[in-house]
Amino acid sequence: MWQEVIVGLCVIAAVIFLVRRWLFPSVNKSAACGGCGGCDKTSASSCSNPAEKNL
Amino acid sequence: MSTPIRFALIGNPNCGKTSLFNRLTGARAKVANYPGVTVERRSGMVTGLTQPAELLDLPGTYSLFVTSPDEQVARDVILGQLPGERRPDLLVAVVDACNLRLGLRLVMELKTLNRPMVLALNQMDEAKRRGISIDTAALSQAIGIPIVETVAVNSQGVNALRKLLDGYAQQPPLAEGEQTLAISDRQESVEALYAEIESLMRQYVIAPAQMPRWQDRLDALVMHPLIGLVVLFSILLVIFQAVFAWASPLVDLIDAGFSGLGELVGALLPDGILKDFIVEGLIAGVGGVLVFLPQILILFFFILLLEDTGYLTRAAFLLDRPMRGLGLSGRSFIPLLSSFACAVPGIMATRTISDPRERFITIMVAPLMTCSARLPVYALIIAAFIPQQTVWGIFNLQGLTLFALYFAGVASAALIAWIMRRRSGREEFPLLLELPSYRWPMAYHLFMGLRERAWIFVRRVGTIILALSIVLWFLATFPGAPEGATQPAIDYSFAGQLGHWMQPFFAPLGFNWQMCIALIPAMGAREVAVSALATVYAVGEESIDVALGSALAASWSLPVAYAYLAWFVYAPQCISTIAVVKRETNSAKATAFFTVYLFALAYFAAWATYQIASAIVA
Repeated sequence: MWQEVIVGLCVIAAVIFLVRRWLFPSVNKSAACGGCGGCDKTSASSCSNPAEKNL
Repeated sequence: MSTPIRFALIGNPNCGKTSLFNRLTGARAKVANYPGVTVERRSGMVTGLTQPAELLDLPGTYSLFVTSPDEQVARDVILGQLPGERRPDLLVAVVDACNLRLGLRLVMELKTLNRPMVLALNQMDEAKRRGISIDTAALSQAIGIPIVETVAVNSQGVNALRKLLDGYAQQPPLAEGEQTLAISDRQESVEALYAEIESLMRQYVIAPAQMPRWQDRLDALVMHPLIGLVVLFSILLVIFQAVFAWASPLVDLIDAGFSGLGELVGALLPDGILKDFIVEGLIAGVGGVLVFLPQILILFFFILLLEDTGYLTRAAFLLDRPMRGLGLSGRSFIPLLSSFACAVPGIMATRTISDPRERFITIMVAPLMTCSARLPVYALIIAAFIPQQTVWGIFNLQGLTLFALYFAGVASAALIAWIMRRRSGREEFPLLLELPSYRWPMAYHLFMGLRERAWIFVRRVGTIILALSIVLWFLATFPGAPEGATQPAIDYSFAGQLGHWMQPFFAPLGFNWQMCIALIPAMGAREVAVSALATVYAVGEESIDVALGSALAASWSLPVAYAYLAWFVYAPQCISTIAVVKRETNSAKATAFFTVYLFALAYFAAWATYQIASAIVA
């Protein structure tokens, strides 16, 4: 049972991550961020794509 | 809390603004030895000042009379005309000491704004090496602007500049006044400006009559319309050979590491869902993609090397004429080149293109340049289906195949650009790019560039690819096979059902339902096609790379493999690319056209490849 719980939580976390990333990008995210997937960050200050970084 | 004082770096393209920005702020923004790297304004806090101060790094511009969208950004920020942007308190004009005449034009225009300004005379080391002598103190007095000599790439003069900025930051702020651009771009005004610059150059600069002869000779060779193309073609061929030939030992090492990890986890954990999840979902999914890191790094090593030597701008000039035949120009070269890394920054880099129609066409064809996310898919299928044999004594057949795939993308982009341009009238915009000096590549730039690419890739693997692999494993595992099932369990899973549902549509292309499943997560990130295939073919504890290759070789025919490769040459672009096309074109219609045409192209190319290859094999 505990194995199913761990796996279930991981799957839910992955789904939430993807939904947040594509459907509800953070309001802190740079307006210029195209979500290139080059970083996992949602704030402009941590964007590592120089072509997109726009504080 | 008071608003920090704001400085802005402004100067010609490729004069070293971003290097200076990195040195002053401690940032690690990309720098390269070609113009047009910065297309948006970038911001950071200056380190080492007694007061907080923000520094803006603006796209390069030759004049305040702008011709392209990126130059417009620089001008609007300087003039305080960008909505929501505060006007900078002090301008830091950056001028390449080797191109003083060109830099002074912008400085003299900026001077008419009557704004506080300092001048950073950058690349002084290179100027001295070329025998250029500048009487900085006298020039400063003549133009009434403090000048600091800098060599941004190794921090020389950066502290002096910082001290000057600190001194300014401690002064009471000046009242905001109205400003207008006091000069015009009328011919007589430009002539007067140049006369003034020539006078300054005569009085304060001693320069040798010619550039170093070896650079001229090299330029005559690499920019020759015919020999230059042969040189470019040869360089690219060597790069793609190296991607396969050099990467193998490292790929094998990473592969062995993940295989060992899979076996270890398999031995430690009791049989059950958790073990399946970790071994077949996480390790196979993530490991299957991460093994391609060496190939990506080798590709970028060469691109960075060419960037840093100054060759890439020559390539842009070289390709200007052939590209004009297609309706594009050398200006499209750098956005298209950037797209080999990722289409997103490539599409954003089209802002340097003055002609709106050319910009639109470049956006439409940029994703046909093979981005690094496609490399794992190509590498997997090539390794599984193309024998590792030498051709014509020197070439590796796998490397040649990879070259052919990249070439197919480029050739298709050329054809589509030509068709699109024929459908619209054209206006000639001459290519104006500054030709940088050749220089020995700097190990620091190479290291930083490779570190950035490696980090971007590893982060993608650790986030989006990991998440997609988990979801995919779940869809491929649940629901389990019913009692008395005769087919493999995945046939009954959600993924299996989806694959079976999609398969009739892709049947003319020869795709089986497992291949159809992999197409869906590949829309999120192309590399996930590899982990998706690892999941649906249930590759786990064995050597992931080898085992998956063997599984594909056993279940796909050669025409099917070719068709799958053709699909990925044109594949409908990832979600991020579609989003950035929407933003850059600001048109739902253009975005819909972009998505549909690429999908249709991918479908047709895969269909044609499959049919032709099947006919040949038969």
